[in-house]
Amino acid sequence: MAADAGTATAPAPAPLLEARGLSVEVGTHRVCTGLGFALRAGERWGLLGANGSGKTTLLHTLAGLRAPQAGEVRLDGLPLAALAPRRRALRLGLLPQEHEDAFPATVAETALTGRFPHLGRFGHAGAADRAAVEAALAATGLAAHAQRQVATLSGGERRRLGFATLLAQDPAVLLLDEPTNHLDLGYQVRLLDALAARVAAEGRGWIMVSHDATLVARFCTHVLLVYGDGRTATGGPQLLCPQQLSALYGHPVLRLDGPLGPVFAPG
Amino acid sequence: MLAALVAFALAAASGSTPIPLARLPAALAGDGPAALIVRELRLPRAFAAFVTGGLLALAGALMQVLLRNPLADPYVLGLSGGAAVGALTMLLAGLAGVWVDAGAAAGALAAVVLVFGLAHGREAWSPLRLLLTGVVTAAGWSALIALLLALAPDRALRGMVFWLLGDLSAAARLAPAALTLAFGLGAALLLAPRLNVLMHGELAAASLGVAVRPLRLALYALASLCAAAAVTVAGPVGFVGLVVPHGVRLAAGSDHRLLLPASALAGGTLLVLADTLARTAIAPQQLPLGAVTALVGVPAFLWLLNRGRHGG
Repeated sequence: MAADAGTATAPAPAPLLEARGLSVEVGTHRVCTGLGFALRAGERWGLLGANGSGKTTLLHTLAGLRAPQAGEVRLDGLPLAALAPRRRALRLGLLPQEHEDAFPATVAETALTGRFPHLGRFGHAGAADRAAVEAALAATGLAAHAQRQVATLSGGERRRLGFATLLAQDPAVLLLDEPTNHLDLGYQVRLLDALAARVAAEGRGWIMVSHDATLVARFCTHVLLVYGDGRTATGGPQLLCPQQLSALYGHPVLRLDGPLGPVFAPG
Repeated sequence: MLAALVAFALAAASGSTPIPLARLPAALAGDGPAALIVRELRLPRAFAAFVTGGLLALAGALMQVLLRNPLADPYVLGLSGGAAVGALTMLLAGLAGVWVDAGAAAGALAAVVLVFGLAHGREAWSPLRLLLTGVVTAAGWSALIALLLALAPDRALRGMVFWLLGDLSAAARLAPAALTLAFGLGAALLLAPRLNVLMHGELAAASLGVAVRPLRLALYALASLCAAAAVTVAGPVGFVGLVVPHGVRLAAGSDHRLLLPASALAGGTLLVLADTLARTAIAPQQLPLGAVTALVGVPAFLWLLNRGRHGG
């Protein structure tokens, strides 16, 4: 081994996140069987599937929050299941589909929870943590609302706070579960544009569950289709064609050519 | 902290032999009947009230974040019912003192284990499942309590009813409860940063690197331990565990590193005041402590609810 070290070419860096022979089931429902793909630095994956096909379940499995029936997920080349939760959270973050706020808390306090994996044993937030929260609130248009109670936010503002919490967490792998829920058109594009730029510039990667093939075509470099019967397909944006999408949704899908790229509409 | 000291002073000064506040230091240091009353009777009782209130408020705050339900209190999972059945059985058998305490502790433990076993089925336990299991077993305990009361002879009945309303007049053997409070508060403070994340949901907590399952177990065990210790000392005193964490959240926010110790302090203070009121309001008759705290707690809780409705 040591003798080879000088002559061997540098190995390609491990993918940020990799699924190997991944099989996921919920009860008797098969989400995927033997799924394999790799999320590499700078890549943005869109995950599409019909209602109840298991997109969120698959995303949670990729996040290490649920064990697969077979196969494994690797983060930075290491088996996700063997990583301590806090170490995992330093590299991988999830924007959940819904947010739960049972108790009063301010916008800034909630965004600060994203810093949890960075904090010490007694949970003391330092200057770096506060700076990260401030930057995250500014990036999501919430800077002026830092001291507001979360319960007073609108649905879209709460969603932006979810984004801010994820930005404060600062992970390399971003798993986004229907990130544009509740967001108006302007924020959909501005937030994803800004995040896509950071993913490209900082060697991060995202996997985004979405119902909007047009949005995926515009913001993603790769596509993962989940058919709901265990079959999956992975590939480049060429997978986003009327035949594939019509089969995916069991409903005809039309492709229109817009000025910024393809637009998909139900037929 | 200051309020707690004032409450202790009031508790020491008030009673059938009033001792002016100005003479308290002298009474504490000196000899004579006043010193005896303060040192041997009033301060230990105030201390018992403080420990009980602290335990209940701490247990309530922990139970609320475990179930992510602001309406949870230390007894929501049926712990007080189990303790009551244990204690009343001992009273019915004509036993007293340490036997009643032992019965209460054993009943509380049985209730905790029962709910845990039932809720921890094949599927993961959701807070809702835990809550429903607790509420249903609590109803079962209530039926048993009614049965015990119906069967009880008249001479045992008064003691049983007083136990059910919460009563500090028989409080003795405080050391275990005081140690439980110290241990519970220390352990809770270690968990506090994780609780700040857990209060936004288990999914959020898990994705931020909290090992949720062991945390849930620790919370359940810790809240149950504190509530069981409180019930053993004073019987099922209501409302402290529900109302105090709410009041502290409104005054000081939801950061558990502050919320937990502040709740323990405020709960202890409230119960010292309530107990002072209970034994002086229509002295020499003593009012049941549980009734007094509920009389204070009901309007306080309604006020909080109304305040919440106007956004805040």
